[in-house]
Amino acid sequence: MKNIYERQKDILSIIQGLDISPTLYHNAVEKYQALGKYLNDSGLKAEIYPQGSFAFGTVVRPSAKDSSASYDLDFICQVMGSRNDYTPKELRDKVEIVLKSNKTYADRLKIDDTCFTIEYADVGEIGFSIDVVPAADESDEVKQRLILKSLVPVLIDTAISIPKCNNMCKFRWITNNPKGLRKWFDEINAPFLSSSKEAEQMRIFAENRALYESIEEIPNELERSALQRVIQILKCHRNNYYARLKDGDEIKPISAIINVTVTKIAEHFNPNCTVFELLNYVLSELTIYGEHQYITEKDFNQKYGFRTVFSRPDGKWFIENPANPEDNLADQWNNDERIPNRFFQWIEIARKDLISSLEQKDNTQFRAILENGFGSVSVSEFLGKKYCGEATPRQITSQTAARPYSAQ
Amino acid sequence: MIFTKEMAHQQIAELLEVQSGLHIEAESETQIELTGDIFINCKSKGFFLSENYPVQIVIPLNSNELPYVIDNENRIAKDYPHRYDNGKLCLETETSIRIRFLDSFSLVEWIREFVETYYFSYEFFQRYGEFPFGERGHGVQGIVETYQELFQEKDPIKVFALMKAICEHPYRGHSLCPCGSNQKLRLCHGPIVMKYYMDNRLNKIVQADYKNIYDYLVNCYEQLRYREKAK
Repeated sequence: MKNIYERQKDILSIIQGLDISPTLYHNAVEKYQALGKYLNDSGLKAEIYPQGSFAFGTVVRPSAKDSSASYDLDFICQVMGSRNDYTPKELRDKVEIVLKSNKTYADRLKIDDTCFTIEYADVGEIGFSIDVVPAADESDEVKQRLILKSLVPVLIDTAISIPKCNNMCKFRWITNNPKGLRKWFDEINAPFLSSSKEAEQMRIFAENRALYESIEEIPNELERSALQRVIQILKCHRNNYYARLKDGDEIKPISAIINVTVTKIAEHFNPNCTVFELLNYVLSELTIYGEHQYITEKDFNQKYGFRTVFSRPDGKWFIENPANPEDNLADQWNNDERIPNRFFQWIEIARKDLISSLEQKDNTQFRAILENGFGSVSVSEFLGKKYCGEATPRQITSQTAARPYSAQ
Repeated sequence: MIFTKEMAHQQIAELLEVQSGLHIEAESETQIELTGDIFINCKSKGFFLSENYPVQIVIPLNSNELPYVIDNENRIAKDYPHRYDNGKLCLETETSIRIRFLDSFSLVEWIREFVETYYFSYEFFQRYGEFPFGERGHGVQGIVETYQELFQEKDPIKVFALMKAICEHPYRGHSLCPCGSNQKLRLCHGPIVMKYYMDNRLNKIVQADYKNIYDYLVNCYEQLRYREKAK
């Protein structure tokens, strides 16, 4: 008899292990706040705030290719004023000059087309880097335009403009709205969080007695709901799946697609659910959306009713960013069909690995599935030798391995 | 390579020690059939496979034919390109298998190196859409590829020329290399291909493959001529 509940608990313990630790969390908060203070003390009036997984509470260690990889934490450095006050290059230069003028930051700084990366020394074994994206408030004209198009106009007020470098190294503005997206996410996540709040506080407190003297000291940002766990599980599984593909880096779905689609799907689900009830529901829904590959928009709507997380009007994939109606998260899908094709193949594999295999496979088989889904280093780190069979798997040497043939 | 009944039973006993899910299903003067599950537990390229597969294994007796595996419960997808319609699995080119077991055949090693790897490649392909170790081209192309590796020569024309020379002439190191390099054989492909001249068993394998490729090319040429005439 397979203990499905225990297997689910073990998957969760891997994800908890890959989540950012409270120590690292406090360290990162301290570092980004210090950076904000430094910028302001240097005369650059700016606000630094988290975006992406650090803002959503869905961080996972990117361990698929390198088990000692550091966490990538994303932040916006929103300089006072609107985009009308600067050219994109001026804004970017302003932030760059201040960062380079301080040795502590200059020594850790890496610069690319969109952001400034500050790498911090390891805490224990695992370090983190802070990606800082310079930004200014979006112009009123653009905000008005977005409000008219948006399904959730109240989110638009926090829209920002980011300097983006094109191929010719010329900068232009692009619109983004990470604060609005976080607000949207937090509202949907709130009932899921309150459902698991007490259990989460107890867990964090029990695991970090040296750090907190009472439950009240635990920051809300460290609590995880079923929704956040589902996103983390899928991100981690995605990292490991795409790491095995030759073209994985080119076609890996961006985290924003996982964050947004899972949250939209979860929006109408019972918030008192378990992580795996929600995961099962999300993967079933994503499988249904995969039908968009084979049938027309009209047939899809007739067959599956009102499902709008993914759409494909005129054959073009569309996933709306809820905080920016002009941002199609699936833009790249329309330039490279490998991305949607592989995305839905991955969903099928994730469903097998994370739902059906828990019931069907014996322990040794389950261990192999865990290692395929979450990486052998992570599985060994958090589960030890649990579920391992007596015989260790035989290593096949690539160079001398047999290759399937067909004489016909 | 030719199994007598006694040799086959001895090797089957060894195999059943490591693959206890198999049993002898039928036995005749011409072959022994095993059925049951084989357990595969291996890893490569970050992928782990731990799974049982129902199979039928046929071991021909007193024949030069190699043992083969039938996917008798259709675990391999019908559209997988390396499974025949009758369920027989296309493990590798016969050349590769025969050369691997030139000195003595071992059922245990054959299962491990060819059957297990076959299922591993299959599952990897189903999951990632890629072959972990590559795949052989179909028909003659796969055979030529095998010799390209054995002779460490990328050019298939040169490979064919080397095969022809191995089949038709004795080894003469001071002669020009058949690859057309204008170098002496011993200074060119000689050190790699010499054993195919000298070892009668290897030479026989090359002879059989050379004939297959030759017949295939002649057939292609005649079809081409026929089409030209029809125009």
